[in-house]
Amino acid sequence: MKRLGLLLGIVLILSGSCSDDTCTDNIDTRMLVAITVPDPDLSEEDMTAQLVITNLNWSDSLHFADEHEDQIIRLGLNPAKDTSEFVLFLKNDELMKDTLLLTYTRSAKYISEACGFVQEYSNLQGKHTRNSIDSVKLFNTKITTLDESIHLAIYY
Amino acid sequence: MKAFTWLSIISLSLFLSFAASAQESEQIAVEDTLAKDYWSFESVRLGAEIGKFSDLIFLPERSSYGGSLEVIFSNKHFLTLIGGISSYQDETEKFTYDASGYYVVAGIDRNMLQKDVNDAFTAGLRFGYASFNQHASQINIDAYRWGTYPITMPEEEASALWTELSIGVKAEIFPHFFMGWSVQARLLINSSYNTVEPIDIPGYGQNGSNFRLAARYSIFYTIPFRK
Repeated sequence: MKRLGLLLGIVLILSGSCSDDTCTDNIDTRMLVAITVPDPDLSEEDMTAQLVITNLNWSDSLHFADEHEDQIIRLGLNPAKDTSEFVLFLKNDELMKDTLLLTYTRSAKYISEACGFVQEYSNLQGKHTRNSIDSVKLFNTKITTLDESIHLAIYY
Repeated sequence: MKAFTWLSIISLSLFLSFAASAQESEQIAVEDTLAKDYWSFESVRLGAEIGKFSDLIFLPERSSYGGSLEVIFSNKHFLTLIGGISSYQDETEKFTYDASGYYVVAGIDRNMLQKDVNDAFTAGLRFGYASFNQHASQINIDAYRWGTYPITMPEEEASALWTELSIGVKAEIFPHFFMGWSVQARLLINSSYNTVEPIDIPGYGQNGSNFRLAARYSIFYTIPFRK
């Protein structure tokens, strides 16, 4: 009985060592950004329908109306640099552009063999112009795969 | 599924260990365990980890060699020192990474068997430390809208500290020769690195979580000093 237990334990331990080959973990480290329009002279519906975010390195633009969920969008930071500069404007008023400059510290986190690494960010800080944007508030200066609440809010 | 497998291992191990203990109680005269000195130096046990054989099948990226030294007190308490070297090399579409270093684990185990037999069913607390060098010739980071960004990490030093709760069994298969296995719940206390989080920490196992279940299986030779 004793030796049977010993052998069974070893066999079971061996069987427990198998690993998965497909990536099923969350690997999204995009920043959660809320757009808020407290100014009573502005229409939140119109603002969010018209808002576009661009970056020089992107091949396309982020249209808030197409990608938002409950006034929140996911905005990816530049994984190759410690700064990301975004230009925000309204489609019906492209002359009133704002620039949002974010600085941060990068670190590569290992997820699994199947998923590889993700870039996580910390010490997030922001600056912006005030053409249309009234203010920006940081709620969380660290961005990881575990985050579910917003990191940054932009007020118009 | 993995959690279920581990739960099954632990449950079955506990059941079998208790069953073995019950069987032996019929064969061995009962001693007055209360009167026994549980801290009387008895013997030293040398061990060699044979887990590397399973790594050949399940984790060929890792190559490790480990051994252990146990100071045994009345076959009730074991002061345990485990050490080893480990190297890890992995190349996938997403990264090319290698690391090598050493680890030491020290702690104390208590034999839960009540009878005076040579076998042991142990529970223990240990602390582990690993020091290693790691290097990644390329890590591809996929970032939405930014594309794939490659990182190159020059060789850098890293270290890790963890604690582990361990349960295990050792059975005497020949006089003085033992075979045994143990499962550990490991909690990573700290890992120190510059650029990239280590994939595999010597002695701790694959990274990616501050908590992991792991196993060691070993063969042992006991050098008796007092009977």
